[in-house]
Amino acid sequence: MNDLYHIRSLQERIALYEDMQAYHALYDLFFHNLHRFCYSFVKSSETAEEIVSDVFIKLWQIRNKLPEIENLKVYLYQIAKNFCLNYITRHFKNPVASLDEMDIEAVICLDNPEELCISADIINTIQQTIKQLPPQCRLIFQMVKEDGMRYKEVADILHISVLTVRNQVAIATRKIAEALPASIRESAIRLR
Amino acid sequence: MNEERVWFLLSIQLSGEATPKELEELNSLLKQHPEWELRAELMRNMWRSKRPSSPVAASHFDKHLQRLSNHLALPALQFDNETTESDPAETTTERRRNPLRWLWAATAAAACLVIFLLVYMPATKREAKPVASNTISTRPGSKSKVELPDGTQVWLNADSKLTYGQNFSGNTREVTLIGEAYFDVAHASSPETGKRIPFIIHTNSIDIKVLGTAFNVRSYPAEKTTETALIRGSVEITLHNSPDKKIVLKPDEKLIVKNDNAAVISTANNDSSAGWPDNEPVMTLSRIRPYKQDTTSHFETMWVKNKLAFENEAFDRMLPEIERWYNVTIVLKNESLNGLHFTGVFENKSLADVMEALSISRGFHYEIKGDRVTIW
Repeated sequence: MNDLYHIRSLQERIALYEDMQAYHALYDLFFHNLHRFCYSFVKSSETAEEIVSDVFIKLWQIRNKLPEIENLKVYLYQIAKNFCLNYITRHFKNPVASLDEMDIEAVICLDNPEELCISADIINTIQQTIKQLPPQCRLIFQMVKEDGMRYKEVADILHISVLTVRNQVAIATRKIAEALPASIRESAIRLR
Repeated sequence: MNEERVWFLLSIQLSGEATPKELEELNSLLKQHPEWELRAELMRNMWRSKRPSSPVAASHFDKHLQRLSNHLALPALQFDNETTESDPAETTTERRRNPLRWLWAATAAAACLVIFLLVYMPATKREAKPVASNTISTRPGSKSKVELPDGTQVWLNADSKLTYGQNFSGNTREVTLIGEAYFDVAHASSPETGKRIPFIIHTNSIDIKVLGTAFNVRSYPAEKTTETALIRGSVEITLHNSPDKKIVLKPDEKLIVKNDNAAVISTANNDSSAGWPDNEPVMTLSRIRPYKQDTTSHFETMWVKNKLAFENEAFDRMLPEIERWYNVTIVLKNESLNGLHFTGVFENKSLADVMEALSISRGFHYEIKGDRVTIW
């Protein structure tokens, strides 16, 4: 919640005073998440960074209207998504019909196996499971788990219903759960 | 079916979207089926695994600024807070000439603005909320323009502070001003009574009540007087020391109130108000001073257009203004110069230009060393 007020106050500072420090803070706040989001679409770190930069150029251009934007996070992701789709259309010459027809790479963080109490082997299994999820499902799962987004926010960004988001997250969770060992014994066997 | 339900409930729990009832259901299902407990636990651990939030390397933002400035077809932006601090006298000229520099001036100003926009209140929501007070301030050498939540535009001159909050919602609009500001007050009516909501400005020595109008208030603590110059509309002024007396200004009128012991002794119609000898009345009503034949600009509000303007201004009143404008300290070593009066408008001039022009016209000596000016 504090984050929300923080973003809100940065928005105001940029709009009212063209406050470059607030602009910088906002950039840093969203850089990693937007970069990951864009990377899922364009699969190039450099291109993803350029698109994030374009998003913030856009933000600067419309700075006067910032106070009117209710959820800046959703707004930034929406612009980022559009820029990514534009980029893909331009570079791959085939217009994107739907998210599910796209090759989306989900970046799901599964670091620190010790902390997770899961063996590297199981992590591998989880990664494989995630890779086999439908592209849209993967992207939604990433946005909810990695970016900590509300279902409503994901729905607004991707122009789908909240119910779809809920179902897709449930599918991803079930598929991953089923790939996990059911008992310590099984987990121990796998470890060996 | 039961198992699918468990993973569904777990997914909404981990996403933070589950209701208490759903959480209860999940717990009881897991209690009934301990064989799923391990997977659920592993799942929870996996979900919590987040890359430690590493700070964003500064190079990313630098690269972005480069692209932004290319995009805006402007010379490369520098993100350096120190440049504006180091030599105000020199950077000010640059800043004024180049629109981009102005942006950086704004940045520097903004960097020091203390903003407590803790609670943003959309105009539609009117229920009582804890309202933090908002403070907008400018440092010497910088100016700022803000729009208050009611649409009122405020230009804040250098080294000034505007506070609002507690009383800035519902049926009152009240702000406190230290320093100088030009207000263009938006009309506002109460949605319940349809009555106009007054806008009240509190200063050290007076309160100004307005309905919708444009005017300039100058109330620096270090100065002997508080000035209210009305451009259009009408305002009602109450002196703190004589609250029963109300003075209503008409357009083009200016009220000057002596700051300490502001009590009404007499109302005089002085055309020239420069200087304030001790035996003068504590309050003076005069005309605002139009610049040339132009009826739309006045000396009182020239600063809003970024012009440093004086009309028959006494030296001792002028110097603090120059100090604030350029963020410098001026030391006057020759008291007899205090009697000098000046008229002139400086637009986009450096401190050196201004000092040169003044010294030539009155034949005094000056020296600028960093942020210190000595006059003799």
